[in-house]
Amino acid sequence: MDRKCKRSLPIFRCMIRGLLLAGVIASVWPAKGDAAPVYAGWFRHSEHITGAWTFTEVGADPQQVMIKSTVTGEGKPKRILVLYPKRSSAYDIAMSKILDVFASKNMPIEFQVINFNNDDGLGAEVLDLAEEDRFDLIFSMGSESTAWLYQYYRNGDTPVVTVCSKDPVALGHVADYENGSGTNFAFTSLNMPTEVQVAYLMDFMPGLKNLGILVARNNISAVRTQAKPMQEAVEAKGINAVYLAVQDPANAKEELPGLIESALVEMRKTDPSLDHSMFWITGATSVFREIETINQYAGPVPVLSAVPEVVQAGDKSAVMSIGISFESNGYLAAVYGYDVLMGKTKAGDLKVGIVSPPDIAINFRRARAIGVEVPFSFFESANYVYDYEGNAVRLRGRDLTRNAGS
Amino acid sequence: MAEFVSVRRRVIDALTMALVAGISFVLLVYIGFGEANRNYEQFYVGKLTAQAKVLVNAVESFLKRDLPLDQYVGFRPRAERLLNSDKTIVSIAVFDDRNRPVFVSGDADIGFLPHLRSVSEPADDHRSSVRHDDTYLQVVLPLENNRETIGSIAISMPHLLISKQVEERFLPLIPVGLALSIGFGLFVGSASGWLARQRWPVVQMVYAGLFLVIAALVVGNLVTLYTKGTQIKTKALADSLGQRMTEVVGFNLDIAQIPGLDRAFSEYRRLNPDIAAAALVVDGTILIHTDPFMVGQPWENTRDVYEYLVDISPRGSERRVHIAVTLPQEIVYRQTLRSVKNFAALFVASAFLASLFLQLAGSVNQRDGPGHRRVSDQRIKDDERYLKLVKPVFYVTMCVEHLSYAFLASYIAGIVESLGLPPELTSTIFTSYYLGFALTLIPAGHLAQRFSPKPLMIFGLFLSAMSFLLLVEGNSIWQLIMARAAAGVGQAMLFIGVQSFILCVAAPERKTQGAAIIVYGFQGGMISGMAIGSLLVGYIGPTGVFAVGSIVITLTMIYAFFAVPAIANAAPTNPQGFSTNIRILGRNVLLAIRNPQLLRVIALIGIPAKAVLTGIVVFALPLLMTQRGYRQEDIGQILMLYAASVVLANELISRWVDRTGDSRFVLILGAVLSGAGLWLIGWGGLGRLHEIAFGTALEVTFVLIGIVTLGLAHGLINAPIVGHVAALPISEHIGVSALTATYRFLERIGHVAGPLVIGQMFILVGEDAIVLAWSGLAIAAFGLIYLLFSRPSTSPAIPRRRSIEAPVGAIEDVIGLQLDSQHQALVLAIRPSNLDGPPDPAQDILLHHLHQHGRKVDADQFAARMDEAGKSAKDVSDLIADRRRALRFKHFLAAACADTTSDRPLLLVVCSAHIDASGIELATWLDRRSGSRVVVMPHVQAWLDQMRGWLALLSLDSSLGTEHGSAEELMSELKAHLNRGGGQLVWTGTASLRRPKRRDEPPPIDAEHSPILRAVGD
Repeated sequence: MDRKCKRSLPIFRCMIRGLLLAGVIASVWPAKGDAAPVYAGWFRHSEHITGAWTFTEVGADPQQVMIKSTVTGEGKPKRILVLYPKRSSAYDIAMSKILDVFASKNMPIEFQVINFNNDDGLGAEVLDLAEEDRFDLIFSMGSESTAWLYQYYRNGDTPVVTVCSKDPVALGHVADYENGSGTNFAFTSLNMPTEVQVAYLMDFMPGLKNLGILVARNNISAVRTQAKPMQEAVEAKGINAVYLAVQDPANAKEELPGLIESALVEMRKTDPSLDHSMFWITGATSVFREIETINQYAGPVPVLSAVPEVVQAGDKSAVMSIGISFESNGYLAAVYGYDVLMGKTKAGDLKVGIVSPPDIAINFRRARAIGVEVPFSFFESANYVYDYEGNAVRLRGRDLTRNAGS
Repeated sequence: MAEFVSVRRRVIDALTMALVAGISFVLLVYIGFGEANRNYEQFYVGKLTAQAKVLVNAVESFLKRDLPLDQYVGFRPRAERLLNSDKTIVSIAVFDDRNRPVFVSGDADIGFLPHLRSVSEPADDHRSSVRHDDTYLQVVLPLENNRETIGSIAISMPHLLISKQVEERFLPLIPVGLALSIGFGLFVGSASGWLARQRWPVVQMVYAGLFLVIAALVVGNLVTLYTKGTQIKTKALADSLGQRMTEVVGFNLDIAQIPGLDRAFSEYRRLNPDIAAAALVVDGTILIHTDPFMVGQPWENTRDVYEYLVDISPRGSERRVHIAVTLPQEIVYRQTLRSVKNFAALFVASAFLASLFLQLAGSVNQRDGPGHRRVSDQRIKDDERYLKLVKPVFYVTMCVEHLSYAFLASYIAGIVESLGLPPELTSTIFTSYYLGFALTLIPAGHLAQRFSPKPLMIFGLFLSAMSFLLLVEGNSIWQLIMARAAAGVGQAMLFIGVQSFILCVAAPERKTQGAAIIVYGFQGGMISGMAIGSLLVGYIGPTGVFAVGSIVITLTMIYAFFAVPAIANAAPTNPQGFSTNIRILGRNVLLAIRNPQLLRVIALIGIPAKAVLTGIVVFALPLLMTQRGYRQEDIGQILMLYAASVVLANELISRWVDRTGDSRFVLILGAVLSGAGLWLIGWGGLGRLHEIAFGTALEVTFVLIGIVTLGLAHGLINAPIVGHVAALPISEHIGVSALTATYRFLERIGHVAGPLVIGQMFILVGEDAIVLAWSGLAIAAFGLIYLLFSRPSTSPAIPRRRSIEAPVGAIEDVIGLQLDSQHQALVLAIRPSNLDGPPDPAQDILLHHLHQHGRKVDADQFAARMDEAGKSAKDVSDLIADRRRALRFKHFLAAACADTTSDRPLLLVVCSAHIDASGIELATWLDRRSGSRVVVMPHVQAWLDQMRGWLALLSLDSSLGTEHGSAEELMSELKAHLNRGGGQLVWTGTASLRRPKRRDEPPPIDAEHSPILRAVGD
């Protein structure tokens, strides 16, 4: 740990302890009625898991949430700490899946989810707490949490499983995909191999000439593991890579129109009709959450994404996405976590968890709107399909129209 | 008491026959069931393979870009759709190159199944393999990128789903078979008295009829199953295509916005060429079609195709959307026929077995079948029983020996290759069998003569069983050589043992029947063995067949040990030493090879024919056909076709040669046809034809025509060449029997040399069918050389030049005698003195008879006289004075010729003066009966003289002097008879007055005890 972090640790340790105490008190305090919980600003979950879990505020701290399984059993429940770096819908999806998986294990368990807001001091307090209170496992949510924990808690006592994090090999956290980290870390990856991604993009649009790569400049993981490798890969194939980096994530909505318009100008140089050009959104949350703006300015150029969740119902959607969904990654992380928790394996022995195959999601409403064709092989392979009305007709591979009929 | 015995006898008859019929019928049903199971499974394998191919095609399009298998997105959705469309599939999985699961849809517990089906992969796709365990059947197709196999796709289904459908069809046949067998037993038991009086073998006819009924039921079920089976794949593909299109339609997507739909249809057609067309039809109009010109046209039913429509209309929609797939009916018929063909081969085998069972039952029952006529002589009855007891031994051993012939060559070649040894060793291993066989014949013959045939048989069977055991464990070259050599030695010992046994036990009138055991055993065993073996190998693999062979021969050995009686000595009156035999054989061989005529026929016709049999038919042909991708069952059936053609040609040509005597022409024709057959196979069938349009069909046609031609050609050679050799002048020096034995010995050079020569040719030009074509040309050239350097036969009948010093046949029985004012005929049963007897014992006896009369008639002169007499008889054939009498005479001859007591040859002595055309026709028919002869006398007086002579011979054997009285006595009796109105006269008196008394004199000829005489009315 660096010096700054060490200085701030005692203060935050006291704060955290106080917060935890407050949390315990709050948990036995009478309910306040239907008012939104204090953590609602950064933490949400799927509705379907509420039966298996109870969600409680931790005192008045809006950055914490306590989640307990409704299963009662003998012995002390397993305690898991989940470290969020910020608010993200991606994390909510992954966390919901983790809870879903652990619910199926039918064991008493407690999750304490803390948003440390990318604050090193608060993060350090959380680490202290984790060790003192003997958490059995830490889920590191998002690439930022992973990077921070890897920096400050590598070889710590409590095992760490990463969730919604970019490729640890590309980020230099682990040497290769075939071996474990040898530390207290078990890595999972949100990335799919770049060459596979390129192959799918070229299948979707044979004769691709321009690829606009959308990323946030300060999202190091997205830049290093997605945008740059993609740029290199397509350029190697003679495709013009147009690099569009949002400078300020908070100001993405304002920056994107200008970036896209200038990109279209460049694309028209080699593809005047824009029939052989596309935009590709990386896993930068600040960018993909502005899909509406991107669609608006991209015009007839199809917008694809590396994040399946960017394809969704209605018009606020990419045409198609090919990548690892947060849900799939959450599932894999939960399996890793469970194995570590039950002592089946050590975190450091687990090789990088890569979900395969990736998911494909298609929004035919968007495809028709911009007049793009979707090859039958993509339609067949897609796990998520939205029809011309923008409604989901296939989810997780299931035909919803048939189920509705039956 | 007698009544009780009779009832007991009837009950035993009924039970025995019911048991035999039950076993035979159930066996037939079981064979049908097994065959249906196997073929029906193949239909499912074909279906699973087709379904897997679609998946493989999709995955490999991804892998061929060097992308990692686990990143392929579309597997799960596609697999899920396939599972939804086909409920028989329980699991679809992708495995990596170490057989670890990568993707699994369906039952995840079904991994890579442990056992590999040996020879059951569909012929059209050598990449696929079929695996199984106790519960599941799994088709596995490899997944390849541009360089290597990196995994596999496996589709699994439960065995039970297949067997259940087959069982539903076949289980009901078992009670039917049992009911028929019980009915048959009751019929035999209750009607034994009536059956005993019948001239026709009613029991056998009824048995055969019921057997055919069961066979018809089995075939009916097979056709129904196979017709359904051939459509399984197409229906499944239609369902799968429908499932893939359902969501496109169900989501109301615009087809125009989804490029590649038409490619999906074309892909189905490409991967499954049997499909005539696949289309997406919306409200009767074609939207997508494998033939782009059909798009926009209305969908119409086409004749001659099966049409499969899968309704994929969205719920609640008024649009009617269908997936239509068509399959030509011709494909269904062809595949059904192909599958039924396999059963036909097995049917032949089971018919042989059923026939064997029936005969065995008769012998175990210690009496003739109830339909047989009673034979008073107990010894003859015993002899016949012994013959029937030994019959299964030879048949079963021959059958087992041929079990492996369809695949032995490729199996041995595979082992030789896997051991890294030179390929020419394959032919050496083959040769070891024939060498072992040839070298064992003489010592075995000596042993049989000196001791007893039974131990020889037992030891031969033991060696045969051991040889199969060695093959089971055969993983070294010496083991294989020893195995085949042991098989050759064992088979030779068994052959000699059985032959000696027959000679020992068979009564003179049963000798021919005994000889038939050899013929039946060899031909029937070969046909059955090839049929069964080539199908069995698909179930249990080559080593399984060897193991079964070993077990069956061991059981046969046990049977032989307990059931076959020990005979004291094969030939106690001729205890020649082994060295003497060898010396005689050596002398004869020297004489033979110094004789240009004999040398020519051996070197140019006999040896090449045998070399083709062992070197090409048994060795090279199965090897080349396996390389060309023929199924083992097809190879077996094609070889079976060869064997059947040999039998057919043998049957036909023997009569023709006997009639015309032109064996030289037949041999040359055989050689030329043999060459033509080989050329057809080598150049056409297995040559380069498959590279041209319709090449495959042409290829098969050429192979079939070629193999039948070759079989017929060998049929033309096999039997006539013995007669031809026997008729050569050299026979007068060393005797007919010795000559034929010498020839048999020398022709084994061909047996031994065949695989060696072909093996060497393979080394020189490679394992190419062109070797067969060149061999064919050489064989034909040999035939033509023989044509140039041999002299035509000088007389119309073959055996003209036999020495008359020692007759090789004897008169045995009077079958019939007809005397009236216009017709005079005497029918005698004759017998050859040994199993290798002359083709024409009748003439032999006749010549000998004349010789005893002091009339030194040359055989050719005599034959010429006989022929003149025959011609004169034909010339007067229009002198039919009395049609009523002519008809009666015809009836008499018909009854005489139809003597079914045995297959013994007949001698018909007729007077030509008043024979009508129908009589000649019958006489000609009789002439075709193996070894039979018609002697036509020009005058009544001469006929009477002959008749007296024959009857005297019958009574007194050949001890009578040159005179046996005048014909006056008989003439006076004849006149008296004619005065009474003519008709049948049975004359018994004269010979008995003049003959010397003998202790073993035969009973006087009595019309009441002669079925023929009794049957012929006035």
